[in-house]
Amino acid sequence: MRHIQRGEHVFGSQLLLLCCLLPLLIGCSAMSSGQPAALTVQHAPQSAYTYVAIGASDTFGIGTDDPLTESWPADLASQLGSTIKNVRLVNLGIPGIDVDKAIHVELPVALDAHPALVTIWLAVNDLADNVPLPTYAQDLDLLIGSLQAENPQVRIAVANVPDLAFVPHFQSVKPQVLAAQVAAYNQQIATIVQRHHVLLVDLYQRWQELATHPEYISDDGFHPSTLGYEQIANIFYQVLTETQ
Amino acid sequence: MTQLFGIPINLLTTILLAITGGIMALVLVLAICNRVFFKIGVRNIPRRRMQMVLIVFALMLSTTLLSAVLATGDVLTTTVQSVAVYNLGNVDELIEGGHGPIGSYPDGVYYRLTRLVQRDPNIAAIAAALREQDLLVADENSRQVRSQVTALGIIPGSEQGFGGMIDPTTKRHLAIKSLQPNEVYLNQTLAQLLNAHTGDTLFLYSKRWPGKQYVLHVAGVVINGGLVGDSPFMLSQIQTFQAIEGNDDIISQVFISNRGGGGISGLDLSNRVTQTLNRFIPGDVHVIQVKQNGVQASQLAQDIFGRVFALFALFALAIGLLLIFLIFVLLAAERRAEMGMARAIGVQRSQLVLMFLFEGVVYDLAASFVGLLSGVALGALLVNLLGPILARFNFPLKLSFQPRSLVIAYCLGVIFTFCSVALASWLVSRMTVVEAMRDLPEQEKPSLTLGELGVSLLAGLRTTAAALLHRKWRAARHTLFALLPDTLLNIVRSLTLLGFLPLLAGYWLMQNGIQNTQIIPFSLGLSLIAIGAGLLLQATLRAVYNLAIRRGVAHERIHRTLSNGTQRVILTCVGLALLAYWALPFDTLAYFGLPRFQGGIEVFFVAGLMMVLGCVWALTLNASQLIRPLLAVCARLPGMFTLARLASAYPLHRRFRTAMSVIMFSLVVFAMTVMAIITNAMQNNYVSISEQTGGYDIQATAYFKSLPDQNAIRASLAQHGINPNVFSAIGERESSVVLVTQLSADAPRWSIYPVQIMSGGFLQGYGLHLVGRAQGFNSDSAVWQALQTHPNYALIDSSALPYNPNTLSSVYDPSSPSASAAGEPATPPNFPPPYTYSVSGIYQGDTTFPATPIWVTGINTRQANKYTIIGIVDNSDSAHFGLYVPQSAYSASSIDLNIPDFLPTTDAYFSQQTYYFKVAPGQDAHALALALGSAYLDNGLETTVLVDAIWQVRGPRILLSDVLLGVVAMTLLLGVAALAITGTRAVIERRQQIGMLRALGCSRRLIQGAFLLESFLIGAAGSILGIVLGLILARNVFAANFFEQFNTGLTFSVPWNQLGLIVLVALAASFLGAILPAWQAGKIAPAEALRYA
Repeated sequence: MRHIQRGEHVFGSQLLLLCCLLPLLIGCSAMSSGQPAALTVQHAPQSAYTYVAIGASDTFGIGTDDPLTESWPADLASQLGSTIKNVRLVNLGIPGIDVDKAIHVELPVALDAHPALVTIWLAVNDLADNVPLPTYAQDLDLLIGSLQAENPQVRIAVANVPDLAFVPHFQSVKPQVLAAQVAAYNQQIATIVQRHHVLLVDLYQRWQELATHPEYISDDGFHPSTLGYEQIANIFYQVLTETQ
Repeated sequence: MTQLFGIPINLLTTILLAITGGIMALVLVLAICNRVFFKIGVRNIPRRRMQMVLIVFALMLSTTLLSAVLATGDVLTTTVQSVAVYNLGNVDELIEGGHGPIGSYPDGVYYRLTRLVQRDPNIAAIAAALREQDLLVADENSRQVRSQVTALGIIPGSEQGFGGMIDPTTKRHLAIKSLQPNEVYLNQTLAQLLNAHTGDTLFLYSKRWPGKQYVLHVAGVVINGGLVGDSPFMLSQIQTFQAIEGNDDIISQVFISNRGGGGISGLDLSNRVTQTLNRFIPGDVHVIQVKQNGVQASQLAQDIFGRVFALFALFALAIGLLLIFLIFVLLAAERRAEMGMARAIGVQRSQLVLMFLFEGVVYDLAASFVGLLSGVALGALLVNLLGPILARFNFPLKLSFQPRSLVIAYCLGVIFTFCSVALASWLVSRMTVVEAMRDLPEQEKPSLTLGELGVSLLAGLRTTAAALLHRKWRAARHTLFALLPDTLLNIVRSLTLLGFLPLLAGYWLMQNGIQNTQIIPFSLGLSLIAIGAGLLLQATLRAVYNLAIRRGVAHERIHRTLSNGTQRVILTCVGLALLAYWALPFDTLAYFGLPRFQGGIEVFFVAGLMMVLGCVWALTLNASQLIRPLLAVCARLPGMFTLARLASAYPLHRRFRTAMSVIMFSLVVFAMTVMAIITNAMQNNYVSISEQTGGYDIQATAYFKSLPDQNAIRASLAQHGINPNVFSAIGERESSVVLVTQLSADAPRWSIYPVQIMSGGFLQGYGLHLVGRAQGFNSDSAVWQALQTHPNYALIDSSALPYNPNTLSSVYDPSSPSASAAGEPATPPNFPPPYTYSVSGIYQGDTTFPATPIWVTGINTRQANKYTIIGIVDNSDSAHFGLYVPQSAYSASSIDLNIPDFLPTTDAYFSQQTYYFKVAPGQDAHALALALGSAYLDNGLETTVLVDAIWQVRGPRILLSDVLLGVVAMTLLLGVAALAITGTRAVIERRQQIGMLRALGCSRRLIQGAFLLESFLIGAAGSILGIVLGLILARNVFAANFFEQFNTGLTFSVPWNQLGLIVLVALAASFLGAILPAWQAGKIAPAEALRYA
């Protein structure tokens, strides 16, 4: 008993000493590492619904007069805002990026944003750059899998490749070769989407009116125009509302 | 200066000349018609020599101040224009365009032009050349490298019309045709930078010729000028570069020199010459008016100086003109007894005014001429003092004064003297003869009501009509020129004192201000309304009191006490309201729902003047109350009470004159305070070279291959035979471009921004100045320490911070050029603004902020990394754009994003490795720069001594800052002299009173002490007011971000030492001005002083 009391006393003294030294130790550690004692960090504004758009130049909004407000994710966020309060768009589109680079550059940021909804439209650059299909499939699989692993509740919508035969930039490619490439890419996308139980935004099927509306493509002959982006946003919105 | 208060200077000159001519003619006619009174008026001049000397000296000072300031303005304008054109040599127009990377076109264009326009009287010479830009030159002999060199392959002989090529040592003319195909001349600038000499071998590199080098030999060095300016140039035969380009009949530039001999003399012909040339040139080329464009661009770049100078000039004008007014008010007051005597013997009021007017005009004519000459001499002295600065950046500046400036100075002096004399004499002539003769204050006379004045006016009109009908010319003249104007003036006076006129005028001005969104008329209108409301309230209360007395409700004595007290309170409130309103920051009204007003820098002058007037008004009204504590303190000190009482008696008795003296004093100190703060900011920003170099002395950029990294550089230096200890710090910086996104922003997306990867001395705080740090860091050194230990901490430059949306950005002056036009970009140059990163949540001016996480990915990094911004780097000089990250956080793998639309339009930001060396004390930076370049020739190391580079770029601004400093010194000198004169006059005009005091038994020492104490009290009151109000106004100038619209980076800081010196000098001047006459006053025998009149 006495031993225990003594032990308690020793323990109590040590605890007291530790309590006294702890702030000092923390302070010293902060000083030695250059870390200030209390670093106030800026946080994201309060938002009920964070929407992250992963993509390339079309997600960025290239082809419009004002990519900041006329990109399709901006249009989609605006439409979502009619039914969901306080939607916040994080547009991670980088012109020229393909899936492999997006895994390193866009994915970490997307995860840090803790999104409720993620849209992915990353296929046309890979196709245009002749990325081997298995590599593309592996990268897309990794991208979606990483998003789901980190945030199982996240809603993901993946768009496939629209019919590029109507896009002037691809006029020089033989139609049957192009059609085969697009079909192969879309087949892979459909498989991966199905595997991960996420939403497929079938631009190939749902955007056939591109054939009769050349104004949906901007003057550069490659990127959609402002009108084209509105159409794409409508298709995404339809898919999202149909499957709610 | 091109305009004053929005009036173009040319128009202003014409108007002033016309008014001056009118005044001269009027005075001449009046003098001829009233010869007797002219003689009586002028007779005063030799009778009172001391007074005359003082008055002439004061008037001379005013004109000197005006002419010196305007002459300095001319120097300023000439400097700006000359600097702009100096770099263009004798070239007025250029013909460019063509095709391909160098914009080439057939040389037939030149030959055709030569044939067609050789007889054109406006064109002096034509030359043609093939130009190669952005060359990298390495000198094998001096072992130095220089980038951004321009080469001109000139058609032989064509250079002769532009002054040819002159050897700087022998002054011998050199010719292009005497060069061999592998020989070049270097201009002095390039020869100096390369340390090159005749016979040296040069290697030429260009990004346009990857993998190739061309060998050339230096055939000579030629002076800057002719076809080239002071940028680094090499000159050769055209065949040399035609061979490199593989085309032997192309040129890329045709140079035209206008008649007039270079400089800015041929500018006026530029439009005509362009029209002529346009008729003969093919469609794929165009004419560029390089000199005219250069002058315009330079004027925009130096616009800030023009505006600050305009503010300074207005203050100087105000001091000069107030001095004139004060001198004549004091003179008129002194003559009051004499005028009373004259009135008693039958002289009419108009004749008194005339006498006084003649005397004043003679003073003015005598003083202005001398003042003009001394003003020009001061301007010349200023230019001479600036000689060393001009020599520092090899710029020749000639002294040039525009006659226009002298005319303006002279006319302003004459007009203001005339108005001051006329007003002062008119005020004094409204005297009661008996009171004036006894030098007693005018008793308050019961003023006529408006109705009575109306009746009087009608009666006057009737009398005039009757006199005219009956041809009684004498009576008609009397009523027409004396009675009616007097009645009209009385009506105006009554309407003003009742507040109606100020209210009406104020309302009109306010409406005008609102309609045109102009701040000056609006604010003046508001001030007049405040004054009118105060006067109306005062008149209403007086009427109520009168009614109460008439009905027997109140006693007259109570009424008088109440009335005086209420009046004082009301008018004090008006004075304080004026002070408070004009002391408000510029754009405060916009917060109250009023439109956003426009205003130039003149608004600060008006604000300053109104603040001084409002404050002095309030103080004068309460002078008795304010002096009481002093008297109470002095009452406890034996001997001091009488002294204090005596010293305060005159200022309390003659409040108008005292107020004028305080205004004069406070205006001088006020103007000095504002000027000192602005010039101090400019000196800190432009003239302090060490601030701009960040403490480093040498910049070194490797073009061929990188230098060893930060850890190995000192060992490498030793291997190359350079003692590493000659450098006290070495920093490394590599530039690149990154994509940035900030998740805490409202709508995050990727944007681009330059990145500076730092190591070595940079991480210890050398070369960068922090203007803000994250909450939690107690000092800048804590930030630097954190950067060294935390690879994911970063800094960002201040230009990336937006203005707080809850505050108004800057003074809205639509006439001011944008920051970019003024050569001070607000965003990184060549970055597309919509895609350039701007921080969210931290605003301009924030000194502490929450640490801000950002995600960064870049051309040189394979993945996105999260950084936290913990500090803001000062980018007030637009030379420190970038996100600053430690080298340890940066990997060098590449992912080559193909985003041409997204990236800056220059590759200058990509992967440029730059070293910075801080030279140990006692070491020669120039010698070490050459040694470094020589040691690392294989790396293609270009070394630049930062002081030289800053002088080259900032030389004109340094010069202009010093010109403004000179203006401040000049104004201080003349302002102080004005204060000394005011002090002297205050004593000598009271000679009679001194005699009275001596007769009453006051000792000499008491009188001397009283005068000195009075002088000190006025000086101290003026100084305190001037300093306090000056600080408020200067704070407003900076708080309204007036300079920020030019992105000048000027920051508000109070130069206490300078302000202390200003107050000391001003007080000493006033004291010294009073001490001699006070000493003399004490010596005057009472009988003599009393007899004097």
